[in-house]
Amino acid sequence: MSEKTILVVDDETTILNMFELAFTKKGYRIKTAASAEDALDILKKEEIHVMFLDLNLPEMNGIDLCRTIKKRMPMAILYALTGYASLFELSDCRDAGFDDYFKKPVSMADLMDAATTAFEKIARWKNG
Amino acid sequence: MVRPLREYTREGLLEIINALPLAILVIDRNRNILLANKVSLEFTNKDKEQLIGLIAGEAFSCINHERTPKGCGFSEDCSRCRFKEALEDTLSNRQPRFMIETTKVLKHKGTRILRFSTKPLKLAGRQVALLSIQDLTQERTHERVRLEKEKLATVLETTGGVCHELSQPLQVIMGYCEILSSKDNLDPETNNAVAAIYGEINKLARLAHDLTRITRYETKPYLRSKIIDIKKSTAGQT
Repeated sequence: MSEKTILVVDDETTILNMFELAFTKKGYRIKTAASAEDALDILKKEEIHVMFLDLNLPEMNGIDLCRTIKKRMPMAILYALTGYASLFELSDCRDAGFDDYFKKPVSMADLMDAATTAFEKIARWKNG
Repeated sequence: MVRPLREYTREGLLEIINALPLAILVIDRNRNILLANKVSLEFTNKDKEQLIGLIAGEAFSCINHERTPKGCGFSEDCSRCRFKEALEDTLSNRQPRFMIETTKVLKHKGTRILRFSTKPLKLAGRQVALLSIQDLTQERTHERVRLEKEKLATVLETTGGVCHELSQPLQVIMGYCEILSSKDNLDPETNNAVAAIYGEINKLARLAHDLTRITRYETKPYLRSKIIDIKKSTAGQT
């Protein structure tokens, strides 16, 4: 499972640490970023297809980050994480290219299911 | 010292009151309508011929006028009628009244919030009262709706902020609870404690979720004050 890498972007270190522990225990490789800029730096260096992005990030927000990533990597699967989002923001999420969104707090089991689904989808595309 | 009343002719007074944007009526000592301007015809929903000579309560279609056979001024509620009280004072004591607000139930218009003023004057040698009325009902309704919208906007901003701030620690606690409960070697006591924490976090998560679904401003009493009723304020949402 080591090829299954997930990028988690959140400006809270405690969240990143918890996600890293939870996903690592399930066999995923985790890369974390505390800002959109850090996330884009990581993506320049390696190809990651599954990502969880917090919407409320400093400087560039999660919606703009998603838009930027989708332009470069249209096949990537991105999930939005948000503590609070109005219907308008959720509509923006959809327009930006997010595949789904989760309201915090979300069960890690649900995020694991989302990761499993995402990697299955990517595998289908890769294998034709 | 009582100042002498200014005297008007019917035509002169009618010309003045017809030029004003309020409902204005001239009323005699028996509270009968002597003159009515154009706006008052709209307000009472009557034409000039119907209106002149009617007693005030009947002219306005006040529901109390029909409650007793004697009509306006004689029902139980008439003793509290601010129009009656002000007109009597103006007609008997030459006392003007300014900007009095009252609520009346009118047969053709329902409950109305009215603001009125009275002024004594002489019309063709008779002492009469000039009554001007402004219907504030629509204005007050708009004001109430605007205030409700402002309150709701404030509530939404506050709950949005609270949900955002709560979501991060809740996410961390919930995540670590799941990580801990997935361990095989947890003793039953610790396992129960983790399950209890997880249960409570779920309750807080549901509350935070409800806060994001507020669509109106409903309150409930709380001790000596009021607090927002989250259930009512989110009721009907899916």
